[in-house]
Amino acid sequence: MQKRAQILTCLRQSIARIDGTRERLDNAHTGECLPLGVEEIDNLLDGGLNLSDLHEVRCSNARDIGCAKGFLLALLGRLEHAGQVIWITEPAAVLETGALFPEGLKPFGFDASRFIHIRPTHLNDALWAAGEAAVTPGLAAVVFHIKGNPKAIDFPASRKLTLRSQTSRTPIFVIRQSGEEEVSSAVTRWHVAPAASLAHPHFTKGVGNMRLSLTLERNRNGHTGKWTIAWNPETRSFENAANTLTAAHTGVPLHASAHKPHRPQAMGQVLAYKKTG
Amino acid sequence: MVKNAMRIIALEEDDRLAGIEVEQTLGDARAINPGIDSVQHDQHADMQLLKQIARWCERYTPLVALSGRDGLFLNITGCAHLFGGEQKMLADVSARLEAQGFQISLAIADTAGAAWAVARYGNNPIMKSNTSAGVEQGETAVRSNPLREALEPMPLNALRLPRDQVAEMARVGFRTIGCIIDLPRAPIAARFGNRVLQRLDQALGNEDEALSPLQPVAKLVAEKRFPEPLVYEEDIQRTIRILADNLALSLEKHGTGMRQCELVLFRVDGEIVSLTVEASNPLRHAKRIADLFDERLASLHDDWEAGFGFDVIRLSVLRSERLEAKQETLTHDTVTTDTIAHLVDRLSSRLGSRQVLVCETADTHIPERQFALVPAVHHQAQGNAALQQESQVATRPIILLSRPELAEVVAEVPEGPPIRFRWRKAQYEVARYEGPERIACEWWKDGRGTYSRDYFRIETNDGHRLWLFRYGLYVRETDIPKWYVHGMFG
Repeated sequence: MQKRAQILTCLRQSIARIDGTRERLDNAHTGECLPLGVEEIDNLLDGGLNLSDLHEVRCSNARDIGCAKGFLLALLGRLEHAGQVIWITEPAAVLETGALFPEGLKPFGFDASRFIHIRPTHLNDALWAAGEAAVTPGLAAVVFHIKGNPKAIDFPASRKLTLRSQTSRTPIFVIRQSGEEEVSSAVTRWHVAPAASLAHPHFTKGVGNMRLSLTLERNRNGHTGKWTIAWNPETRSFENAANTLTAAHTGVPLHASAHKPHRPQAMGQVLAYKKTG
Repeated sequence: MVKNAMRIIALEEDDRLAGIEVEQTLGDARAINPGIDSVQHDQHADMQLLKQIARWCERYTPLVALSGRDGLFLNITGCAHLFGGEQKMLADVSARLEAQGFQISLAIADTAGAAWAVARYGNNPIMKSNTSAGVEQGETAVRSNPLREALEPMPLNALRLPRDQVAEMARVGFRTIGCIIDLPRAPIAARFGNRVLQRLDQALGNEDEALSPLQPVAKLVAEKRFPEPLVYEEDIQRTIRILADNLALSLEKHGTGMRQCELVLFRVDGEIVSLTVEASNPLRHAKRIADLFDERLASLHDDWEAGFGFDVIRLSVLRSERLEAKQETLTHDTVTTDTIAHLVDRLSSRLGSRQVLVCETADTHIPERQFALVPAVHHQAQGNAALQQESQVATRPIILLSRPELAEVVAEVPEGPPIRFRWRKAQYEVARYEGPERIACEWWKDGRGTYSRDYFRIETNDGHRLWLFRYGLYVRETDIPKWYVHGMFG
């Protein structure tokens, strides 16, 4: 068994040498990676997402884009690098999905001013912008939001982005809204689908924390899997939430109107008047 | 139509010889020459053409102003020597404009008013009091003014006066400028108005006349002229680099950095290509300025043509800001903020500044008014710390739709939460909800008369978390409130 593991490591190293990914494999050990916070997943990824590479987050339908963006924002919120994020939206994706809402980013630890939004009018311009952003050092991340499987963004295009990301050490995340699986050079590809939230321990009727059905469809080292995870805004990490009620409560009081329709209070106060006369 | 008749506004030389005049009615003109060809006057197009010529004339001086509907003033103070003197400059302007097919009459004079008069009614196109010959004689100041001599025989029309005023003065026998030049001023002002004297003074140079140039005057300008026009893009890019180097030196001398920069390419046949780039931070790095123009040129694709080539290329700084010299540090921080700023500038030049946006927040509780995406190159960093408080409860969605989308909602009671709804052609069942949270209109601003919104945070059976609102309070504001989806949660 020991011998077999040795052979495996040997083979992996030689592949890495051919592939030019040796440096990246080394990075994984020097800590330049982003753990999700769920031990099971992080182990599969050799510690977490590699931060000088291309990753893809995919959702099947336009209505799931909230979950895909939520997953990505949660990941970005876990980055130690508090620099600026370039968020490129392909023209076809702008109309349906609206804009990031500054108030809504706060639970992820984001200030809206950290985002630079780029909305080109042509897909090729978007690809060009992504390439330019990818070579710029000092960015926290580059996010490239595309819709479907456009022809212009093929394997060579994604390979180019990967190479650029490896030299500048800026992570690139591709969000693919309502697209199919596609050959790309992304080191990991995640499929995100919404899952019903677990009840809040203090407010069982309300909507709980973000819960996702997460599939690791592609992983450079071959291990894939499927989990149901929940986001804990208090610890800012994911936790395995298959069926248990582990979502920690936030301790922040809820709105007064959270459980019933608000009705205007009667004006003033009714007092017992003395009878006159 | 002027005074109830179609009138002649401009005519060709042959017709003038035949006896047709400007202002004549078209009927009279037809009586003289039945074969006359008339075209409806397009004032707007004429003005456009005049403005285009004005832009073209900027190759001679940055101060080009319109004069009425048919003329241009060029303030060539300090520019003539660049063209080898006034005589040569005049010849150059005349040759180039005539080559473009325009009929022109030119004049150079001490004052705008005199130049106007000489161009229309004079014989000698250069009318200067202090020509070099005059200065050598050393007596010019004492001698009678040659400007005055030239103006005296000219008709009063040369003073840029309204037609009816000239007619009124002609009735009392004033036909030339010489008739009124020595008259006592007070009676003329009393009878014909101050305007006559003002125009006279302006023509003679006794009163200043401000010309308003069409284009804002650039802070710094670098330009290059070529005897042989440039056609290839590489040559143009190389020229831009040389000009940017020159500008960077001047910017450094002034201690400023450019925020907005314009490149003007003058094509030999009179076309002008003008490109503007902006920088998010004051910039005086020559290579970076040139890079921005490279992106800008690349973004034009095939929308511009070199044609016969460009013979003047000018780079001017339109807007600049103070930029203190900074000591370079060895730490990484300044380098990265610099590279990111440069990335933003380059993206803005290539894609257009409205495509590269940053978020600006405002202090209001109406969700769609809380933020705006503004061009990054115009953005000033703001520090509204009050709005930056931390929050851990996701009461607000991460995505706000560009506009609320109508949903068909079934609610249990009119004021209650939604039970099921249809949105974007799909049916959803509500599993959990929070709300309502009422957000009322801003009646103290412009919201008077609009409805309140009751927001619900809902989760559907299959786990979609959405932000819905009911528009209008039941009975009090509307009988059939509509429902909208406004955002998506993670």
